[in-house]
Amino acid sequence: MRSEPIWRRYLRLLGSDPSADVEDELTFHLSMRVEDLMRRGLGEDQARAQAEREFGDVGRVRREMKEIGERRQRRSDRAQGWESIWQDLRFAVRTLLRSPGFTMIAILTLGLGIGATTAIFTVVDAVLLRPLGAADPEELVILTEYRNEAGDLSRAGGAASPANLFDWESQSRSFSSMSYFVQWPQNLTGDGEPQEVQVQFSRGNLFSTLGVQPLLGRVFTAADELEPSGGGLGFGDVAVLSHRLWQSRYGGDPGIVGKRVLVNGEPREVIGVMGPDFRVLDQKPDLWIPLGITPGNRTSQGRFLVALARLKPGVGPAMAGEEMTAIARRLEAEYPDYNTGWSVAAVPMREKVIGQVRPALLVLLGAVSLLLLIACTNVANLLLGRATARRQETAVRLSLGATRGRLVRQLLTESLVLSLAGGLVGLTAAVLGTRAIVRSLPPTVQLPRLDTISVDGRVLAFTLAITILTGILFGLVPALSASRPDLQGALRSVSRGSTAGSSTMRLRNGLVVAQVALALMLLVGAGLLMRSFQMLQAVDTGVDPRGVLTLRMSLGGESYGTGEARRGLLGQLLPALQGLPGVQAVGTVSHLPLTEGKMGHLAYRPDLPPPAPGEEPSVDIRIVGGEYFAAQGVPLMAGRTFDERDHVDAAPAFIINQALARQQFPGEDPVGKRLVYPWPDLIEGVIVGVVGDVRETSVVESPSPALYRSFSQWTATNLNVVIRTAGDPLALAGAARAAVQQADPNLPVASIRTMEEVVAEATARSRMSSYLLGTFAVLALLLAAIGLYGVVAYAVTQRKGEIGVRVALGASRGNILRLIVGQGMLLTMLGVGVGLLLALALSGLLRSLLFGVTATDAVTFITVPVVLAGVALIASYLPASRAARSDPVSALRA
Amino acid sequence: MPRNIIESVQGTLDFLILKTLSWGQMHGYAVARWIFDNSSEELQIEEGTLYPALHRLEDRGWIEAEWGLSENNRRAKFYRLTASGRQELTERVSSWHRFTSAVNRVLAAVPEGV
Repeated sequence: MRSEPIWRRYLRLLGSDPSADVEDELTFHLSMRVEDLMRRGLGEDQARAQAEREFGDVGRVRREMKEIGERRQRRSDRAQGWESIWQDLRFAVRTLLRSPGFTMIAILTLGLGIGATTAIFTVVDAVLLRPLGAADPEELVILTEYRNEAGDLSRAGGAASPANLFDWESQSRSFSSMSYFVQWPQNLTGDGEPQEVQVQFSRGNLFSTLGVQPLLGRVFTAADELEPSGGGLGFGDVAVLSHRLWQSRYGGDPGIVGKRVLVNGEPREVIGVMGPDFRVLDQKPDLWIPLGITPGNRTSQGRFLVALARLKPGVGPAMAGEEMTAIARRLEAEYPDYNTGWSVAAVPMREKVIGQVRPALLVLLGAVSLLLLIACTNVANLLLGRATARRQETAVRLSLGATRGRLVRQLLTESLVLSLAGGLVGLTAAVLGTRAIVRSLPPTVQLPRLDTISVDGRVLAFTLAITILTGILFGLVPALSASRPDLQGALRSVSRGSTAGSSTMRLRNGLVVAQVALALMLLVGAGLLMRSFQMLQAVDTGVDPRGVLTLRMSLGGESYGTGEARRGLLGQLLPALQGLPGVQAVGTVSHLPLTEGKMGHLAYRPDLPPPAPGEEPSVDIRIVGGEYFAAQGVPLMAGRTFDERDHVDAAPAFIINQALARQQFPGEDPVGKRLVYPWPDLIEGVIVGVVGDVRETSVVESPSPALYRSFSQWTATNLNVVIRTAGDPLALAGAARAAVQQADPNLPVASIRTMEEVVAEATARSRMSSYLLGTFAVLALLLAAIGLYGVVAYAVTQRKGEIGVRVALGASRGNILRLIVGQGMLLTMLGVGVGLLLALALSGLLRSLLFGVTATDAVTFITVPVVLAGVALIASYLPASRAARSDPVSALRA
Repeated sequence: MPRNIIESVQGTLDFLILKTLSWGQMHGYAVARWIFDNSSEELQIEEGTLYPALHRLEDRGWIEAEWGLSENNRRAKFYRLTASGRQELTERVSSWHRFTSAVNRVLAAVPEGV
């Protein structure tokens, strides 16, 4: 065999043609046969005729061979396809590595955008999206009583009263199971350090209603509930441990079931341990104890239970809600003293758990998406700039026969490589970042499901998805624009501003305007949130938290079963604390300001007709001891504070705050007058003093009426010691704890915090949102400034010739500056305009997060554009000043 | 062992082609001529069977093809055996010998007592 001539081989370069090959082969065979026959003596025509006859069904042969050939062709095409993708990848990486500056900036920018988005998504996923840890959580609702209009039920205390609860259960048809619980701190003693634990006193069917199984042992049954124990809320003598407590206090002892523990001095047998992720409504208590409420001993007092129920299949929350409203009306008629004005709502559990944070998280998600968009726009702009620089290379490739599609594919590969690299950087940053954020949050911040925030498979999948999307997003436009066949213009000299540059220019300018608009929106949002936070911080809490230390304890168990025992403790403890160096005043209070939810007590004047049921004013009742008001810095407005006159045998003395005074005694002096409150029997007392308003429950709401009792006359189990010092309060922490230890070694101190920490926690969520959004906004501003700088610099290089001419014709440096900066500012103003319109339209979405400012707050809307314009001015000035300095001669010559 | 007559015929043809090509590179017509001549003109392979067989064998990777010029300067497709083809050939040869000797043994067998 001799090889084919070269020219023939080249024909195959244009693509092999299987059917032509088959034709050729068969034709050759035929001609050989004819030759053979002719050699045997036949004439040419006869030979040909016979050969064709012998050949048989040519068509079928042709078809079969064509099929085989085509199959083989497809296979080789596919292999080639993979090969070319691999080629593209290698080429992309090499090209990117050749311009390391560009590549690094692009990757960092993308890393920023993708990282921030991933971090926020991690939080959003954990808090809002992941399942709630109960079986079929969509069927669970919280039954909550409310008065007047419902308002934001996710904020409401979720309160229900035992009396009503039993009626709900017997009268309702919507639920397959109803349960309830209340959570109180109790002390664990006996086997180790005394420790305060959070105990959920729950009805026996709580676990079955939630549909969960214990990890070890068993959970409560009806039998555990019916045996009364001595005093306290708990029934029976059993307890179920939480996983965390089991690990931390008992070292994960596998034989824990059957052991006894001392809760508030009462021995209880551990019958089970729950799994590690179990939570009730987002609470993670340490221990469960059966709740001792049966229809026989129900009290009407206090709506302190959290009630939850599982809907029957086919019943929706709305239907259940209607039924409950009807039942509530019936109960209103049946027990008017207690139920007038009260109704019941069925709130889906998910709503209750996450409802409060959802708006903030969604805003953050929106903000971070804007940031990502800005990052993409930046990189797209960078790519456009690069494409212009590579115009010649592109033109050459096109002229050598590369198709546009191939070129676009290769450019997109570059974009994808960039975005994947950026995604990797971003993911790492996000992992570290979320960990840092979560660790830096104060321990009792109210972000639900905080401990489930972690980067896992879902987050990784999400990151991959947005990485690829981002890559396509910012890569497509530059790829399409760069691969436009414009051979003539490109092959000409590149340095003079060519026409191919102008549409790119317009594109880049458009992108910058978009960037500025987006950055403005983020800045406005951040500005509004920061102003809200400022307003929140400026709220007068009513106390002076500087230099104040607090310790929390709970006086539970047999040893503090009597008022005498409790008073005895205070009698020992307070003087000991008073004696510590630097201490100015020591007091106690049952609940610290800004820490508890409303408890729905009432109080009214005995000398006036009692208020109509349903219109009783709601009052916070606090029990104070020692020199509480002095320690907390609450001013005395009239009368006196509690003193030795108010001992246990004396007539009940009350101190009220100004809000209560205004409410019950408008225009009069309340000192000396009388008030009553039910507990549940009516307690009557004399007002001995009026103090300043304190925000007892929340920073956001105005202070509600409050009534104070003296510990000497009326004790409580919840105890917060408040110590005012001259120096640093934390320095006193050790000594204070020691004093408590001395007074009672078995009494655990639950938490020691400064009052300033307590106040800060109340505003923690607002602080966090505004800081995060502020960070995003600053980053966005930076990115937009860089983008603007890039575009102005690009315009300068494009117009170098023109500038040279102007200077030669006598333009001053100032003229040039004004020209260039003017262009930059024009773009900025366009962006600001668009951004302001969008911000005005969308800022209403933030309303639920704002405090003290409106969604169209003038200060914010004026300051932000000014700041933005200022930064833009600098960004435009830098390249402009370089242009103005350029030598006209060299510019013209280039 | 071939399972039906068509398979066995096809298999045999493939086998013969492989053997033919083991002598060197040939184009399709030459393969047919070789088999015809060396079977004492008993086995004449039709083009309709030959070329599909050649392409099948090429698909399986046992032979590979190259375009070249024939003795009379015509463009033709030449085939040659690949390494895996050579291996396949060896296996088939031994398999064929086993088959034929088995058949011959049965043919020569005589029942007992005759």
